[in-house]
Amino acid sequence: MSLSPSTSKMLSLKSSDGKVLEVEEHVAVLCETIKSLVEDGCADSPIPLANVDGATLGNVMEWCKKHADQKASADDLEDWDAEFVERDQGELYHLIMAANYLNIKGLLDLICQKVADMIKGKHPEKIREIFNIENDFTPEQQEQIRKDNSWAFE
Amino acid sequence: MIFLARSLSNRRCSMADWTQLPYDLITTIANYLTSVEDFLAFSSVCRSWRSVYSNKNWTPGPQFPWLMLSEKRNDETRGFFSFDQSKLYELALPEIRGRRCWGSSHGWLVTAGFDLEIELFNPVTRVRIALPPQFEFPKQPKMGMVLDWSRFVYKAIVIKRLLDSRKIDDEYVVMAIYGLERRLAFARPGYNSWVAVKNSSCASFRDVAYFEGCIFALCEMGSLLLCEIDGPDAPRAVQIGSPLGYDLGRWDQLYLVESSGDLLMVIRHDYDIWTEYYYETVDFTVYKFNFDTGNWTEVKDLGDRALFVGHCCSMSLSTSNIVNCQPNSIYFTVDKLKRWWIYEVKQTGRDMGIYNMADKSIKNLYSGVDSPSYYSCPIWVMPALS
Repeated sequence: MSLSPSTSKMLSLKSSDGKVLEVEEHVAVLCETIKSLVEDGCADSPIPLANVDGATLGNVMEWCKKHADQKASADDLEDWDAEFVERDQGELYHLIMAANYLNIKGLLDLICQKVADMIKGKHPEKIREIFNIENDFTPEQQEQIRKDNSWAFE
Repeated sequence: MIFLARSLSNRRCSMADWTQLPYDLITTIANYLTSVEDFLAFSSVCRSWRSVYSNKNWTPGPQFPWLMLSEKRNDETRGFFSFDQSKLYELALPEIRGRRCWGSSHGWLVTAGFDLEIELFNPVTRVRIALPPQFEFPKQPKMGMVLDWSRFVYKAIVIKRLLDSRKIDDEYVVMAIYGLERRLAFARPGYNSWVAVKNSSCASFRDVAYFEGCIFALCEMGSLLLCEIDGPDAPRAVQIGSPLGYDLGRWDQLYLVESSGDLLMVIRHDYDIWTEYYYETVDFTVYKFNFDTGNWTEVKDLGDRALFVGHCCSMSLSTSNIVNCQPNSIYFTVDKLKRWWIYEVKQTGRDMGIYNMADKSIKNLYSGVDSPSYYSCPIWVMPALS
């Protein structure tokens, strides 16, 4: 039997908020976590993904589908990826956590690179604003950081 | 009401909380930040992101070394020029005030002072690690042959070795070329004294480089020596291959550097008129060592590489991912301590620049304010947390 994409088996994935997504197996196995379930023969029933919500799972599978496509050229993928990561910080956060949980190295590297690019050239205050992070240092810690590397923030 | 409560709770669940990123993801993001400035900003955002700073867990890709400027009069800050950010940073570093410094590619400076103490010092983290003092070098000069403390060590080179195959444990070795005869000795942090490296050819050492897991040293006349610092016959240096000899031409300094899988000898040529108190670097020649034949062959093109030489570990970097870094070039800073007084007398030609291998031209390196004096002159140092 040939394993061409058109005849690929379908897998059901169930998100944390109960949404079920039907995905071709050759696409879903880009997630190492799902791949090992398939290899161990534990992938029959809908696979419960307790840490990934439906919307994020949809986004992740969109990325996997593109990257499972044998016809896509490297340049094409690069452009597509650049567009794929143009999202707000909330979506990026859920993608990074999902890529980590599902163990998709390519996607994880892509998002980490994107987050790093958003940080480059900015002061801590601006970074907190972009990522909606609260400054949780005590005044003493803050003073210590300032003392250690004041030159970098002036 | 129930519906509203549920939708709110769903929303709360789906809120992004970047402080909850797992540690290995924080590390991955940090390692995509290639400049130390960005890394410091990142690690100052919140407590969980600070963990990468505390654990010194940052091993970024190649970056442009900083140009550490000369000491200023009556001022404890030291200027570091970042070429990729085009910024001058003023770091308050009273620890190195009045000390001579050599730069390295691992974030460390080796410093020597009037107190005869020798240390490793990281200007970013301000960590200090003691090395054996100057009077713990073997074969101290006899009376009447005493060198000034700032010239006793001619050059100090920091080598970072991967100790075991799992590559989890780094070990620093500091190689020092010292004394009038330019002997070679080494020490590790924690040693009480410097250990002499025996060598049969009695040549005077000029530079040391780490290449494919081995330590190599370059001597006058262009002879290459393999240094063993561990093992039954160690520490010793054994000559391999033939020296370049008179093909060196008239030279001022010799450097040894690993570059794209080759071991290179860089020869610095100067134009020096004693009577006019004048000298400047005018040319470079580069050779690579052929390990099969044991000979040096000239290299005309460094490809995308840039070399960095001066009072520092000689470095080679691939310029393709570094902003503002000119390929096929040699970035050089002053390296002629015995003529330091020319700087003070003439204030001319701060002998540094960017040498272009293709057309042999030399371009100005840094045009900001700087006042080199005696042993205090600009050097290259790679910013790192080490």
